[in-house]
Amino acid sequence: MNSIFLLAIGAAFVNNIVLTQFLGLSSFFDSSKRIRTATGMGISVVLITTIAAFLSGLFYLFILTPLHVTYLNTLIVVLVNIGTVKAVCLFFEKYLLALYQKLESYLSVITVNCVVIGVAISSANQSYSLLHSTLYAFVASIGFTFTIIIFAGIRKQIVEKEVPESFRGMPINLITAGLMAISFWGFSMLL
Amino acid sequence: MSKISEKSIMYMMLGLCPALAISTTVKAGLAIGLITLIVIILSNTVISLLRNRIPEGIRTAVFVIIIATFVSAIQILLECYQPELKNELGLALPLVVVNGTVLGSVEKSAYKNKVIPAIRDGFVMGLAFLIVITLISSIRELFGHGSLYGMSVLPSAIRPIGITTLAPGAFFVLAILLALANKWNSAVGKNTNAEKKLNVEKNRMNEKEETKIEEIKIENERGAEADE
Amino acid sequence: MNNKIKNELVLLCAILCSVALLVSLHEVTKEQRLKQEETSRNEAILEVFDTATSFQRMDSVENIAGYGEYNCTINEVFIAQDATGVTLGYVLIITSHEGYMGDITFSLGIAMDGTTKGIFITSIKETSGMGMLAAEILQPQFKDKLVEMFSYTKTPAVYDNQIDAISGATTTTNAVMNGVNAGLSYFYNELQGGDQNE
Repeated sequence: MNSIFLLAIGAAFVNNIVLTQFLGLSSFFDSSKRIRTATGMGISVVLITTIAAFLSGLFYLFILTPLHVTYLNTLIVVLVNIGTVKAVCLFFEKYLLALYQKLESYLSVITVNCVVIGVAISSANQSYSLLHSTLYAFVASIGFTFTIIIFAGIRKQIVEKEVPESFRGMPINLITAGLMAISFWGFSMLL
Repeated sequence: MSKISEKSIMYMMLGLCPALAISTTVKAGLAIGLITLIVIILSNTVISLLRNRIPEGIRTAVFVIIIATFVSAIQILLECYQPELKNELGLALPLVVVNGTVLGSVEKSAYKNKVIPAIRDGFVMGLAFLIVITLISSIRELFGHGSLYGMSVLPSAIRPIGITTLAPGAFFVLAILLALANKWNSAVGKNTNAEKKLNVEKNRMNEKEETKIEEIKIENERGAEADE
Repeated sequence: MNNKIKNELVLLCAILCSVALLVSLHEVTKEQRLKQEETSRNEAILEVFDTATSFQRMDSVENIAGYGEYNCTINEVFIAQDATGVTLGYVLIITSHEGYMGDITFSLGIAMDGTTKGIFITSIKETSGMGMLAAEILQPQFKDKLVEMFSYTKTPAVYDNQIDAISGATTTTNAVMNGVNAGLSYFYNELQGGDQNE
């Protein structure tokens, strides 16, 4: 139990997917203009990352490793991701239309998202068990969601006029992200 | 003097995402930049050659398969000849597959053009990426360790700023570079705006002169008529 | 309907081509890869025991997990001998599972009298700028020390058995240190007996 808690803290905060591992930056900046957008993106990422990580884990542990072809993992992970997004879209379209309409735009972007791919591949690299990788994917993506929502909240507070001209837009966002990264780095003292 | 277009900045940002994590040393930054360049060129070539055979609906999937094949091939080769480099690059290497610059180049250029233009475009985008990532890595290594490519450059009396090598540092360095780019754009923009204003003024003055000349001509003619 | 099937076929075709290419590349480079692995391994062993001329692998040792309650695996043990066949000590290949971002593998050289001759990290994936400094900061601290067990300290080390922790990366420090302690424990309990000499 203790180690799961530590794993959760580690994955969500200390080794934060966006602020420490730099994955998902493009989605991070695109989707954080409004808190609602951020939440939508976050939910989609959690969903897809967890499912894709689980499926990639299955492939890696039960097909690639026994056949000694682990170098195919990169290819498999990307394909699994595309498949997962397609499958989830189809499923939502059929059974959960309302939800699908809300998340549709996010889901299509996630096909080539660094977060999903990164999480799946790093689970394989570190030889996590199936349960461990799925859990890691879940918690890491929750961390991502958490970060993106906070960032959206902060962005709302930035008054464009008070920012020096060259820094308006992307640069000030990056500095904000950097400051957030520093504060998240403080979490490493928790462990 | 031209503006650094917004679109290129956007593509760069998308591409930097995975590579930023290991851009702490020039060696790593240069390596990942070169690898990305190679992958772009190879993928552009293949996809451009096959562009008429790839159905529209599944094109993203096919692009990704092709790019992933090249990246995996490079992974296999590195493991044989340069395993330490492969370890150093870590996660950034497989993530070249979803590098925004690669995908952007393939989507915008390779899918629509013939081979030679596609290769040329790919080369340009890849080179731009290489330059940017090497620049960021150099700054981070210089300020973080006081060295460049492992060779000490700064005198040991100057203490390195540790934070540059850490995660927040990447954000700050990137922010500053982008701010500089913005500054460049606005400076260039001011020139072009000033030129435009001058041109408009010139045109107005020309028009005024022309109308005056016209009026004088007409007066002369009338005067000539009156004389007769 | 026809279009959909055509799409699926194209995808399948692409995937198969890709897999075929990669598998053949992997096979073609097999020899080079094995050579490379051997070179890396030899380098790791020589680094920690440069006075020995030959190393004999102990076949009785194969991935011993969790020795001495440490979360480490002792992968291999080599007997380090000099030119005349006299055993000078041992080289252990240890993987510590307590790393912050996963496993840390290193070679550990121990002389017959229990002196830790040194460690050489072969595989590590810790946080860049912090745990990744293990090679720079930790490796030198294990060189030529006659200690039964190491412990780490965040304040400057005073005693011989203390290791200066990497600031901000105590988990990494702890992982490496525990790996060394596991190796030392194995040495004192299993190897020093003398009847293991071949």
